[in-house]
Amino acid sequence: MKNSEGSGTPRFWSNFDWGLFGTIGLICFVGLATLYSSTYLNQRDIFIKQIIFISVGFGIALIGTIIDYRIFERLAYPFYILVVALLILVTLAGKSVYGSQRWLPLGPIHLQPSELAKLAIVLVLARFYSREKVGLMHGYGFKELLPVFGLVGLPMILVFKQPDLGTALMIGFVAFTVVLFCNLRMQTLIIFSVSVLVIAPIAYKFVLKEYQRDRVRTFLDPGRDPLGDGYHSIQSMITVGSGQLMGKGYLKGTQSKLEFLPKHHTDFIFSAYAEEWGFMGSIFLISLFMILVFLGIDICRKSKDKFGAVLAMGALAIIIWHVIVNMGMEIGVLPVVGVTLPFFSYGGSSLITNMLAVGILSSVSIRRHIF
Amino acid sequence: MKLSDPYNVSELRARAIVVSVLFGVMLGLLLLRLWYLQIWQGETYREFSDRNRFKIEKLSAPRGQLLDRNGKLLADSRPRFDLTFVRGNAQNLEYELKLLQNIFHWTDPEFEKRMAKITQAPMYQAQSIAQDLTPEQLALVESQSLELPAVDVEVIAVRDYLYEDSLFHILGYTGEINDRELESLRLRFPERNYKLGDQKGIIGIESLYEGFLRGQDGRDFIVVDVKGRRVNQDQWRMLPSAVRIEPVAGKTLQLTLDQDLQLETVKAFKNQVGSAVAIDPKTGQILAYVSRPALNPNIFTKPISNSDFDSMMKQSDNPFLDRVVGEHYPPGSTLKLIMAAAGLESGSINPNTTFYCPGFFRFGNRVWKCWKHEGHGKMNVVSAIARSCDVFFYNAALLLGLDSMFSWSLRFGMGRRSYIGSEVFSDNQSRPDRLARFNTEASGFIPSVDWVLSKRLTSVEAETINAGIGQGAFTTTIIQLARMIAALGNGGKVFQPQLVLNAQKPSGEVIRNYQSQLESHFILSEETKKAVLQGIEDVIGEPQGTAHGSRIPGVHFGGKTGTAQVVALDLSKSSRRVDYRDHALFVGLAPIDDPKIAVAVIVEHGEHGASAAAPIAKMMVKTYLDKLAAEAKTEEKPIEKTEGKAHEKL
Repeated sequence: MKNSEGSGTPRFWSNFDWGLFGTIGLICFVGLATLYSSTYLNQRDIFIKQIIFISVGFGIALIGTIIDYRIFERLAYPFYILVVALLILVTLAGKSVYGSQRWLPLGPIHLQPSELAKLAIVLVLARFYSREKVGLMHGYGFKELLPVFGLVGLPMILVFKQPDLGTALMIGFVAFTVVLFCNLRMQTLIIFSVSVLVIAPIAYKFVLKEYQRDRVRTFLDPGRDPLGDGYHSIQSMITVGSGQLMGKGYLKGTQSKLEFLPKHHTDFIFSAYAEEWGFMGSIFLISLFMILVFLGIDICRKSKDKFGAVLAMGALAIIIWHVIVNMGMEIGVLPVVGVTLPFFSYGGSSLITNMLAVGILSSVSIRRHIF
Repeated sequence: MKLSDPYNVSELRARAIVVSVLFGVMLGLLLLRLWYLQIWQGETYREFSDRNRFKIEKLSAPRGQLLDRNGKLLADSRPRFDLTFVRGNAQNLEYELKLLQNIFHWTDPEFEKRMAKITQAPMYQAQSIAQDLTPEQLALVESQSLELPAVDVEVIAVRDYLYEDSLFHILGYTGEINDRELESLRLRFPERNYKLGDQKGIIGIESLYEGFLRGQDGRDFIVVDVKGRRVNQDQWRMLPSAVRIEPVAGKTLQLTLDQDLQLETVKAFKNQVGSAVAIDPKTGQILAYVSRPALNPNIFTKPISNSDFDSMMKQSDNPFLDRVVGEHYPPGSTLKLIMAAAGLESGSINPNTTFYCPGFFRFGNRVWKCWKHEGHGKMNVVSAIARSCDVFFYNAALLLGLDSMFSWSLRFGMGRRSYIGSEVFSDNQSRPDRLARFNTEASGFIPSVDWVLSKRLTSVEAETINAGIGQGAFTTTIIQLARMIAALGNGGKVFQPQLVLNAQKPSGEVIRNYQSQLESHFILSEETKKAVLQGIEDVIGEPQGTAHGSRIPGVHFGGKTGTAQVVALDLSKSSRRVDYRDHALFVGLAPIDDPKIAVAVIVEHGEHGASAAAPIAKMMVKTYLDKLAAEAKTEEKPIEKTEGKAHEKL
């Protein structure tokens, strides 16, 4: 390792990815402003807490930048095993919230191993593909993918059993993105897509729990039970739609203030934003995330080694898939599965995962000039 | 640190473009959808959010009705209208509250209290500010509703008890669930969906059968405009189908009680404190169940202030106490019936055994008195029951022995809970509801030799002599006494008394019939039965019987008086304090040869069973038998007619 990448040196700051941090900072700022608007009437302490979470999050991202990402190559498998062990532990001894076991109480901190599982999958896949010699020229077929299915499937099933459908799907999406990135054979992709289409209805019938099936049914027909599960979806669409082109103005959103919109500071915060800022605001926010995609892809392409490239792609995938699934459920194109909007939704756990992802991206980025 | 295979990175660069296109297309699709919602459909959604407010209206489900054995309504449901206030909807908070003050005539402190409650509440949380509006108040509020945008009328179903305090302990009462109970109720009964402010049964049948009586609330999704007026649902095209969930009423329970008998019994008590219970000896069904004093359960359907509740709790005559099952009393001379049966069955005495009563009984260096100072003279078992001779039973008790008394008392159902009303849970194997005893039923206590020896308060012989006339450590409940005399009349069957005849759908269709549980069955020899039944017949029938004054012409009415000492004998005689006076007891059975009703009565501090308790028992027996006779008469004549009527009803 070269010593010149330590934080105090001029080289560190000249290589530092200001664009990435600037974009994340801007998204956090817009998120905080929206959170304030959503909570200032009743729950001011939430806003203060979120400021603390974000500060801690940036600290974590900076620490992530300083750490040479290549160290993770060795740590990938031990970390993966640890996370799987924690997932098993949380099923056995976890704290139950709303009927699902997700939290592991560790003194004052409550650890949510399913959040770590997303990172573990990215690390372990990056490690796996960085040493893989075969297939690159021809792409991967099913035979080569088998170990990947094993690596991804185990934590996915454990998370799904908690039950946490949202996070399980998220792990699947992130893994899919990484595999796609690592040269998935076109033929395999098609067979894979077809088999998903075949398996989905079977899984719906035999694997999902009743309340999860309910969510899917509600998604297909929100009017079916507008008081129960459909309520979120319908109210959320009304909230977004009523923003029209220019929005109702900052602090003037009625849907969220009158508490027609549930969870307007966590899962449904984008609706509150879109209500007050309108379609213009939507374009602005999506553009910010679009910029993040380009910055991330750029980091990925400029990485000097395969491990870094796959790692950066995985980290980017974690953030972007959260954005896509969360917004999708808020505007009624995806079922309501309880996925948060990165840097917007209130809550420490998901924020820390996302900031770790930023740290990884930044760590890869700052070492693009190591040759 | 080594780089991993750096030379293959170039291949990945092209692939990265594939992923960026994937992400880009996804985000683009989201933007397209946003354009559809915010621009294309924006106006429609703006209308929904601007003009309309959506509200979930709770449709409160009525509790199941309670009927007596003849189908007479005892407890019904009625709507209660409450006012709620939402601060965030108010245009001028103070003005609106002033308007309400004029309607409800609040005093200034009452006004301030509500003002404080509202201003401290979260912006859009409804606060209850007035309960149980009269129709006049309701009309006034409705007429000014345009000026009261923050005010809303809420309808909830509450209990309506038709007979005020006459069924307080047996039916129980309902009250609001507070936040302290809510959590534990939800944990214990997740299927019942308890919410804050819901009504729940607190004692009696309301509590024991809560699972049957509680209905399931419905809900409606209504659209209201900014002024709180209801908007026609058709305008809201997003609701394709009916979204109303109808409330489901609780199950109707037909009870074994006879309301006419119940009311007559209450009347017979006048202002006296005590309790009375009547059982059908053949079926174990409870016919009447009275504990005095009692409260009017209707006062609890409205939130009641803590101070009011505390003052009721502290009343010296304790109206909350169920004196039928919840209080221990010494059985007094009523226990002599068990002593007589036990003595005869065990052979320690026979129908011809006589003891001479000089008015006292000497054992060791202690003297026990008979209640009659001059003594009864020569007594056999029949006359000793009829005249309640204590000396006869002191002797009989010593011959019998304490442990033999113990086991015979158990056979008659003494010394343990009767588990009244458990017929409904009989097929439930885990029987969790049995843990919830009816009105915290007490078990009573029977002394045994072991117990006396372990306590060392007195000698075994002294305890035995005392137990012979139902004093000493022996205690019982009134329901146990009724079970005891019923078992004497029905050939030894001890039932867990039955409260519910059947459960019905709100429409009246019977879902299930219930039968009382036979707890145990013992057989007495004909000789024993004859002697004891003759004894109780003579109590009333013989001129020298202790309750001769309570005879009913033409009815084979038998019984036994009793006096339960409250304090030591000499103290009660010397003191004039009312609360030192003895309790008066009476157990009765009629008609003796074909028993239809068994009763047990206690009048606290009534002094003499014959003068205080027996007249109440007589009134109960007479009322019930007269009623049966009248029913038999009407049934005999127009049989076809009544049958036709019954069908019409169905």
